[in-house]
Amino acid sequence: MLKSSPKFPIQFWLLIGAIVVFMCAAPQIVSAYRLELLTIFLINVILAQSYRLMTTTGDWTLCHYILMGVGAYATGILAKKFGVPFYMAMPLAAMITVGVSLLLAVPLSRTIGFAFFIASFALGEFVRHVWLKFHNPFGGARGINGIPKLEIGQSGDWYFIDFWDSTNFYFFTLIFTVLVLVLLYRIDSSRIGNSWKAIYADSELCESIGINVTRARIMVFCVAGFFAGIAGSLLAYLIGSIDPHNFEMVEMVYLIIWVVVGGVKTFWGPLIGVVSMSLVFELARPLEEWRPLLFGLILIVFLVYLPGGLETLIPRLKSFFSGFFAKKEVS
Amino acid sequence: MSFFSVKKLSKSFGGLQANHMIDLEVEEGEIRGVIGPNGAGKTTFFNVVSGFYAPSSGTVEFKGKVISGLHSSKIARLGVVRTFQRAALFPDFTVLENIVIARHLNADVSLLNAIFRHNNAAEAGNLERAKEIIDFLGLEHEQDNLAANLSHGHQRVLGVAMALATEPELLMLDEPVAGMNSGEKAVMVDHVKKIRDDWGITILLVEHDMKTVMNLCDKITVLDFGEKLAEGLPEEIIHNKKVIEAYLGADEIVA
Amino acid sequence: MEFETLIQSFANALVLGSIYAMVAVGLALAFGVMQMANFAHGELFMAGAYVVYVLYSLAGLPFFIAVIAAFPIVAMLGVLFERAIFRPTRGNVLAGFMATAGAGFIMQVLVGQQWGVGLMRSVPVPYKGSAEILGAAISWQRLAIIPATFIMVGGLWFFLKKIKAGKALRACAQDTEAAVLQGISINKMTMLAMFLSGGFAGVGGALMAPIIPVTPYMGHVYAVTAFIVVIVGGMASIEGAVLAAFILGFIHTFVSTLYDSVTATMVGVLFMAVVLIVKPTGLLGNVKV
Repeated sequence: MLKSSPKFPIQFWLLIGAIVVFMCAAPQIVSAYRLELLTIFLINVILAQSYRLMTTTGDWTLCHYILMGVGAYATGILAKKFGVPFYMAMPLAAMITVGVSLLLAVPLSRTIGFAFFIASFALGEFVRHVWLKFHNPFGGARGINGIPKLEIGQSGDWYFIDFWDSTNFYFFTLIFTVLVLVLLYRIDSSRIGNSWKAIYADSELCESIGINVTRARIMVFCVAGFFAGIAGSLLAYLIGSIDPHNFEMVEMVYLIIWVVVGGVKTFWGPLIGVVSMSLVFELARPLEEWRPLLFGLILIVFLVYLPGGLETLIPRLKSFFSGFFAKKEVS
Repeated sequence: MSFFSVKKLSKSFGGLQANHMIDLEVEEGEIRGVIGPNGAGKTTFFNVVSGFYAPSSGTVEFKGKVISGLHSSKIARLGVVRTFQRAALFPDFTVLENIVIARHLNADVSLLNAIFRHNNAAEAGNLERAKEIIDFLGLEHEQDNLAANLSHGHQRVLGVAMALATEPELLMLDEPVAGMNSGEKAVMVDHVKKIRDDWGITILLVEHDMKTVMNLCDKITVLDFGEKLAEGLPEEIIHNKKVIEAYLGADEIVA
Repeated sequence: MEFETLIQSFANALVLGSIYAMVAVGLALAFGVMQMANFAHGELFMAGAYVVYVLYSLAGLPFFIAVIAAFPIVAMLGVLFERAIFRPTRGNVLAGFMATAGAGFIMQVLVGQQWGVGLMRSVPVPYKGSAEILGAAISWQRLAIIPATFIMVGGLWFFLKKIKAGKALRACAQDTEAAVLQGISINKMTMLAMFLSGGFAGVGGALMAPIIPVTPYMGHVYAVTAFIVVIVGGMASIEGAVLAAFILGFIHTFVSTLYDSVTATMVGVLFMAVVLIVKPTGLLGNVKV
């Protein structure tokens, strides 16, 4: 496929290498508390990259964070109420999230653009209200507590791994994140991924060459939902409990901030957004209650002045750095 | 069983009746032109017949199967594909990539393949075919150019190329030479002839440009005020009194 | 349902519908004129409530005056939104919408820092006592909202139909290009639309200040409902917004009484989903969004 094998410059691989080293060494360098933050960061990366998949067809939703919640609740209920082990609970939870996505996608696919956005907001709120209303099985306003910890084997077995340990869970999440990124990248650069971009460019033309646009949009929504479900599953095991108040609209706005700040046109945009905004979030901790104001400003500034996001700066950075390397060779 | 037939087709929008009881039959291998003065309902007719609107009444049949009312992507899958009067393309992709994307109906579009890419043979075949189409339509030198950068004439040719990529049996062209200069028109006419002569694809076109239609079509159907006015060979149509009256002056028809 | 409860619910539904109408009408207007969708509409509502808190609770001005003052004050906030956010993002509905989400954050923080966040500011009720209608008791404070809404929405109707500037707004909403050709300044129209939008939301909040807890986050629920109302009514239709406001007000009140408010919200959303499926342009709308 034509767009699937771009040539990656050497700088890209060096950067990847540096990141890999850092990510593997992190548990040694960083405190357990920070390690948990890093794990959440990884989960956010999965969430943001899965969101981007939907934006390739031009569909922006406001219910994606809630879909992560669906995965979390499914995992919590399966693990706690039914004692399902993680290697079954996680894929099941992801499939349940796909199911819910499909249910939402059917009415949503009747709308487009702004109405799609708002309707997704309302439907997401509906789901959240379902959690709040039904004590059985969602625990109502209290949510779910005491999700059994993830572990392989029993204590005493030679292959026993206890994932309650932050380092173990961190690596578990890291593996998932890398897998998800690879999958998403493959999908994005495939024929199907290109057909989605084509839908965004000219959906009428797509229909005329045999692409069923409605079906494609529903599929994208479900695939994105699948990965949101995985993220939710990881979150449920990490925190051990689920509080419906952690899935309110404010969290969705932060997801939008990551994606807007990073940009969505290139594959790495949302990743850049999550990295930069997570850094800002941590560094801005001293601001305390003023912090949301900072993020409000960031969102406005980016949407008004840099709507393409940080990724639009990459070509400029690239030429700057290649100039830098060229200079070195000359001297 | 006729190849393509339109039976008693009517289409109204609210109070406005754009098409009324139109009958039309196209034989396999034909090049059929549909013409008419402004406001005759050609565009509506085209849009109904290519599946972009459902008719108010009447049917459109292709190889014995009713296609009116079907989703346009379904109709494309059945072998009936339309082009657009506007420049319809994917601007951020190259010409070659555009055509490869248009091979959608002949590709493995499963998620599984997207992830594992086990079906590479199919993709190689699609690339081959795309290049064949590019050569056939003379777009080789534009192959790696971004579609957005092409001249208008070339963009229309690309539109035709993309339609061909779906391996249609019936190709519907929406005012194929609209907005072109005489050079570009001649090129397009050649292409359309070749598409039928070399590849055996049946053509139905709607057009304003009389010279082109006379030159190109085996048979012509004339619409006026939403109804079929006349039908026949180009020489017959050109001398048909009713047709001449329908147009504002005889000058418009005389080649 | 007992008769008394029925009357009570009916009156409450009228009140709720009135507030929904007050809040949603500005949203429909702004969207109709130039596709300006304000995520922070709820924060404008909240600003109106705080105007009453400051002028009436703190400064001791008469309640009536404080409510009237809320209009121009919050209206100017609306204009600020237009200049700072909607104008530079004109043409991109989503961008403007998300940017106003950011503005909402900013307003919540500013208000919270200035007047405290955790504690609910309570506003003393100016119109004490309640009316007895057919055996049900409804507070005067709540009842007053109904005529207030009718006066304001009626005034808006008059403005749009009879006053030159209002007619210009409608022209702009119907056909922007034609309006420009007639010499109407788009910028003036968008500012006017946001002025009115803010003003109405502000008065809505001002009227509700003695009735509901006044916090920086109070507007969120009303904004969500306002959007649902506008979608159901038809994104750009003011009459649709009023109609949908009362329909949803009734649905919410009666379902709340029979079950609970969480269920009521769910039913409201379901109703919206059904409308979207059956008639995506909304009950009275004809703009496909």
